[in-house]
Amino acid sequence: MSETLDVIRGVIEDVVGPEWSVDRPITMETSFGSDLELESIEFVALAEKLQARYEKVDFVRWLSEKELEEIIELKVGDVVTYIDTCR
Amino acid sequence: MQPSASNDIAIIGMACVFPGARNLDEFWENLRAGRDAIVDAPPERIEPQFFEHAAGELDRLYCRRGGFIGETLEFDPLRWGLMPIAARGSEPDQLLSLETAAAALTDAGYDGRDPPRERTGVILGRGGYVNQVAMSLIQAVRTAEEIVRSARALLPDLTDAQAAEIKRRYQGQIEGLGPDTIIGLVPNLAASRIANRLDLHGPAYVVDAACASSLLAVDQACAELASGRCDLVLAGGVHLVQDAAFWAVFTQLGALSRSQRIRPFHRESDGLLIGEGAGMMALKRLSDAERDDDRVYAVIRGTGVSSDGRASSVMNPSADSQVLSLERAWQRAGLDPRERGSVGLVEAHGTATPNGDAAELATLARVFGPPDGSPTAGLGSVKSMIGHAMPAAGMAGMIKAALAVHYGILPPTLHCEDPHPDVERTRFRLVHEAAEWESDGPRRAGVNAFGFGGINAHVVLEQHHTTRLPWAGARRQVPEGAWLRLAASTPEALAEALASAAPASGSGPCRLALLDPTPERIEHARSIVAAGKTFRDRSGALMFAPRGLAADGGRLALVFPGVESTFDPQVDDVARWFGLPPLPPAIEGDLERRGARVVLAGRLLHHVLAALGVRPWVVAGHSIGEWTALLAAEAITPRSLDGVLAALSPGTLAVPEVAYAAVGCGTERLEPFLAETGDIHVALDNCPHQTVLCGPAPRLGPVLERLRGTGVFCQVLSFESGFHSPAFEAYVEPIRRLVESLEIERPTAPVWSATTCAPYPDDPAGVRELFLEHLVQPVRFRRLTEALYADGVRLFVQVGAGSVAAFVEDTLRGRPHLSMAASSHRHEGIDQLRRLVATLWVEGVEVDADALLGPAGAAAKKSMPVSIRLGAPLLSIGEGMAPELPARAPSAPIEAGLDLSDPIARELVATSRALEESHLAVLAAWRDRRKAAPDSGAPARQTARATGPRETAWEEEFSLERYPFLIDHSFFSLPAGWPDPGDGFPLVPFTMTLSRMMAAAERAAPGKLAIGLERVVAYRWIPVDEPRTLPVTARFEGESRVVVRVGEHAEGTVVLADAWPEPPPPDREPLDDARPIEQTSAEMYATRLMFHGPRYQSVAELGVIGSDGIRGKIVEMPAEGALLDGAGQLLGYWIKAQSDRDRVAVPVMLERASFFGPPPETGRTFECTVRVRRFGARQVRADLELVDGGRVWARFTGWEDRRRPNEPWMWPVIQWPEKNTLARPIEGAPGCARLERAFADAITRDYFARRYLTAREWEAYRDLPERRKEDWLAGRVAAKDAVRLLLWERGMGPLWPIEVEIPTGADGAPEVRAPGELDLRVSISHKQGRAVAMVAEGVDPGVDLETIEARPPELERAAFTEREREWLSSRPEAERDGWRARLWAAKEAAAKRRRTGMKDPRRMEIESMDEECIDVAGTLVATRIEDGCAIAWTMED
Repeated sequence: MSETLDVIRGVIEDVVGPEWSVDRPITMETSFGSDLELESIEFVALAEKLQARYEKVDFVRWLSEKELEEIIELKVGDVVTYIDTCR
Repeated sequence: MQPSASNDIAIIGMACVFPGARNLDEFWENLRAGRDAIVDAPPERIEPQFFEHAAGELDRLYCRRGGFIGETLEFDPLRWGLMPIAARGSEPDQLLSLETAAAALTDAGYDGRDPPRERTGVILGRGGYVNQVAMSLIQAVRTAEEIVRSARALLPDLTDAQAAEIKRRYQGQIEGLGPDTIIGLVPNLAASRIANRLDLHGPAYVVDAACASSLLAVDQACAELASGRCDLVLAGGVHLVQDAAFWAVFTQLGALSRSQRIRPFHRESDGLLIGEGAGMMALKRLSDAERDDDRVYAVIRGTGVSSDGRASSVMNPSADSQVLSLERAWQRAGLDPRERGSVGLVEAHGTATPNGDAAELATLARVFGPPDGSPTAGLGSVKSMIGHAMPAAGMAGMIKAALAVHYGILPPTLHCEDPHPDVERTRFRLVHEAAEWESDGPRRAGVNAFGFGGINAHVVLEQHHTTRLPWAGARRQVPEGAWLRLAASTPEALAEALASAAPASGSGPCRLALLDPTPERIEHARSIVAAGKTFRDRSGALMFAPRGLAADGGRLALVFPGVESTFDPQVDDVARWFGLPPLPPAIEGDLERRGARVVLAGRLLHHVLAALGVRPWVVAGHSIGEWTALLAAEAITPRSLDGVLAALSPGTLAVPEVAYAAVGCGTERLEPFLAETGDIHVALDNCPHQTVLCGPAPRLGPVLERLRGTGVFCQVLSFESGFHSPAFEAYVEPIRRLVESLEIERPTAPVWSATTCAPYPDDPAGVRELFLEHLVQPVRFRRLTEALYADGVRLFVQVGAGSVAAFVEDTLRGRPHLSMAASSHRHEGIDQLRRLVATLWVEGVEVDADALLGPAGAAAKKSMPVSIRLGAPLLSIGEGMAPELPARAPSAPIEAGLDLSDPIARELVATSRALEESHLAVLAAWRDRRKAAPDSGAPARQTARATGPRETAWEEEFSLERYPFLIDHSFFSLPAGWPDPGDGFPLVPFTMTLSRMMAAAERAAPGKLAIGLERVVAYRWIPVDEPRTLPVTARFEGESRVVVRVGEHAEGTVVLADAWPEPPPPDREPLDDARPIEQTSAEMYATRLMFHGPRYQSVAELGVIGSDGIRGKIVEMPAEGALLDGAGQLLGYWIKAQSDRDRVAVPVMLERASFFGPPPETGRTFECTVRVRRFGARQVRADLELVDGGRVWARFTGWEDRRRPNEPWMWPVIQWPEKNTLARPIEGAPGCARLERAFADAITRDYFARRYLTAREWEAYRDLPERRKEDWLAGRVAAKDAVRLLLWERGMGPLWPIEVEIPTGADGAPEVRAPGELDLRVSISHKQGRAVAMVAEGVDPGVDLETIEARPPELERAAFTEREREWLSSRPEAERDGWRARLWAAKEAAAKRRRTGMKDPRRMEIESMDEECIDVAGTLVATRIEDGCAIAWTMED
């Protein structure tokens, strides 16, 4: 699990830059919307990078089942769990 | 009549504080929204007993509601060069006037320029009432004497010392009176202090014309200006005298509402409610204001004043005389009030007294004439919202009228559903809801203020016509929230500046901006600067650039968003701050209206950025944002675009059956799909990860499905338009005609087109053509971004709400650039704007950052406001006094020393007896309850057998072994590695008890779900310092209710069902006065504001706190009850935020809980809303709600916390016991510490016993008789603190009280066991819950404490030798008791040092004595009198 989290941390840094906020590490509890302040475009960019990394994981299906608000309120942990259940 | 323009006076600045409004902005907000600020009188201001059984007595009040500005006044004394103590001793109304006057000057733009000090006057309306500090003086001088006199009358045996003590204690409660502050009691100081602190040299004085005072001040100010004596006058009013005595005046007059409502001009209005506050205006001659570019709220055209003469009595105002004041004002204005449309609003005096309202309506009918068929004018009174602010009332009304004139909005008046019949006879109608002020001519308003005693004033206000940008010259105070900004030439220099205590602002391209520069954040900034690389916090709260983009030559583009966002731009507060008219209210609905609003918001923000000096290199737009860009660059005129916008009536843009979808990829990936279908088009090419497609809905669906199949994220949009697609071509023709009429000008900055990805052409025809092309061509925003980048643009500012900045970011990811929005849904408008300005400044963009962020460098100093209590509380001499008075001596009968022929004495005796009896009854009942408890709890297993399946019972173990996580629910912090975790007092949280109860019920009824709880009471804690086995019983009451009992500790009913009920809609109501909590939850735990250890740290996020509750996020943790405990912690946080007393609160009861789903798994987070329903001195009741994903999971009503009594001085020890002491060192007495105050009650005493005593000591304490516990504990606390103080002096680090043990030695004397090698010895003395202790190294110390009181002669003979008695009797009478106590204490101390005990006090003969030293048979002892006690301690040999 922690390995997946590390990968996601790296991908987030690629998308939003290394410093998203002062002295707060990215944890399973970090929310893409309220913590990372991710715009939906950035989320798509993030999903694309993850898709490239995990070929078996069908992000688009997973995400299209959700409302936009739900997506924005997703936590890093949700994505980690999803990836881990797909593998 | 000719308008006398030369006499026109301009209102150029305003400020106020009124109930519910801390400043002008909030006041206007409340006025527009019709917010009712009337509340029950807070007990801190008017004690509740004054409202009891009111039946006409002078000291009883039948009306309990009014308007209050708060319980305290926040005031920054250092800003005004005052000492905090001097501020506390000043009349609060003077401080409020000073702050309000300064705020009015700031509002008038005098923070950046100097006012004409030599010729600036101050005229303040203020009543000659007894204000609160004056009240304190009366208490200190007169009441104290009266109390002593009364005490002597009741208790003839009272000694002089006792009488003096009574007085000392009474007066001791009155703070702040002294030579430094007493000058403030001279009433004119209210005005003079303003002139003094603001350094103004015009006339400064107070006027008192009762409720007309404020308008009299304005009238005087206008005269001062018209005569040329002053060039600027601060005129206003203040009233802050709300106490029972003041209310008694209006109660006796019968002027207060018996229905507890203030309903101006209601058919059945029955009186007023009292309000308070302050308002101030900066006034100037209009001609000067226009010359100086001042913002003018409104113009004062005329004022009129009259007195009733003999015509009126206090309660019967004279309409004749009121008419005179109105006519004088209109005459002075050169206007005829009876003319059609002469007035659009009258802000009436409107006190809601039947006589007052009737007289005022008669006046209005006479002055303005009867209804004449023209549109009616508005009528209202702000008193319906804030009450009658007396001398300040005229200011409240006049500020309201001036704002209404300025903004063109008629604010509502409340509670007048059924207007007075006489309203029909006037040209006026009550304004019930905020409405636009429609007027053919200039907007004009009249303001009335009529004072008791028959003094009448009226002011005529008129709209100011100007073509200037309205904010020119006007600046508001820098918003709250400190920024630190530093500039330097290199990162090294910047790091140096940052390291200094008071960093200077500096200059250079290397810059740092930091919001909320706490030491922690500055520390973090330091590490960022040290790294030397550009850093940009995503939320725009911390930015650093070694060399900013603009400093490097990067150019700035303003990019205006289109209608792609569902978020309404937050610009209302921005408009207010800059003095701009607000946008029309947001309207849900069609694309066209939303589009118009997006354009308006963009224009507003562009104005603001221009005012801040931001000059773009280019402007551009996204979709219809391009129109805003054309406007911003003045390439087309607003008027001509208005034509286009107006033509876009609802439905204009609707192109049926065209659907839009956002797809998560760039156009290159779409090309194959689009080529295949043919009729699906790219409408917006936003960025590499977003393209918007459009086409016939039936054709779009399959394309999206195929795209999804290849892993592309697709979302159908709710637009109904054919914009930017060939489908719109058919609709272009009607617009073409409008576009032909566009007025095209030369742009002030190049406007780039997203159609051509190049600047707009120069020729008008080319512009018009492109304008139309834009409607049917795709928006090529990605290409535009690239083109701008190639042109040197590095900074992209999105002027409005939306995702345009994100599009730019996505396109330019990885390349140096800045892309940021001026408005965001994440932050308030002004807050986001400040973040933007700070970021631009860091990047080297030229921008007037000082205006929004305050000056750079350390000048952004933190203000240090003190809270000034409002209201003069009733004083008493305090609890601790009683035992020392003979009347309460336990052995003496109540009547001892009383003269029973005195009726008062008889009454006193009877009352005391009744009280005593009721106490005994309560005690007896309590004892019975304790006896009964085991009967109903312990034999549960037997009853199980007896009654069959309807009741079951078993035993449950509660221990740290079984529930190791409970160690994280320990009440007290312990030293690291402390061997006995039980000393931290771990206990079962109330919420775990709830959870155990629900589990118990489910166990008793297998297959059922516990969906609720009712009436759960926690009788006592379940500590797990040692394992406990408790009987648990579950008894059915019907099929779905089980009463569960956990030993003698808790009881409640669990509600069962087969399925979870449907949740109610969540509570989305905002909290009152909500403000974000600056502290993080991590800080909350780190600073031990909460005692919880890691597994119970379930508050994930502190959200907002308001006057009626708190919101935050809580998370389920791997500890039973942790989630709900987090909700309780939020409530606890709220309680702690209210007061510095009684801050620790524990849940004791729950009325009802409902659950709407299964218990959550660890890690699940909920939004939690806590609504406080009652905040009492001891109990706090609240409702709690937990919401996840918009669904309520649980709701608690009637959650009750009990506040544990503690006083502010105890708090440091509660929070950081290892660094603080309860006892204080005694000055000049090395090794001594004194516990000055007794614990208020047994609960507090036991609480600190847990804190201070080791398990072994606790056992000794527990076994003591109740009456001895207090003294014993006080002695232990003093001793432990004396030891800790001494060890700290020797350099030892943090030391918990439990690390020092004070066992009793073989000889009964206390000993010391403390860390370290020192040979420490201790002596203790205690009296009546107070104690002193002395610790010494290597020698035995002796210390003693004696109360000063008269002693019987036998005692004196037993204690003192003849020589000593002779010496004592030679002392002056007044000193004798004191010396006797000192000598006795000295003997005791000496005996303790010798460890002999005082066998025969006469043997311990005193050799010599003076103030400094007493020689007791060769042992030297120092003595001192403090707080009615003699203290003695042995001196070093």
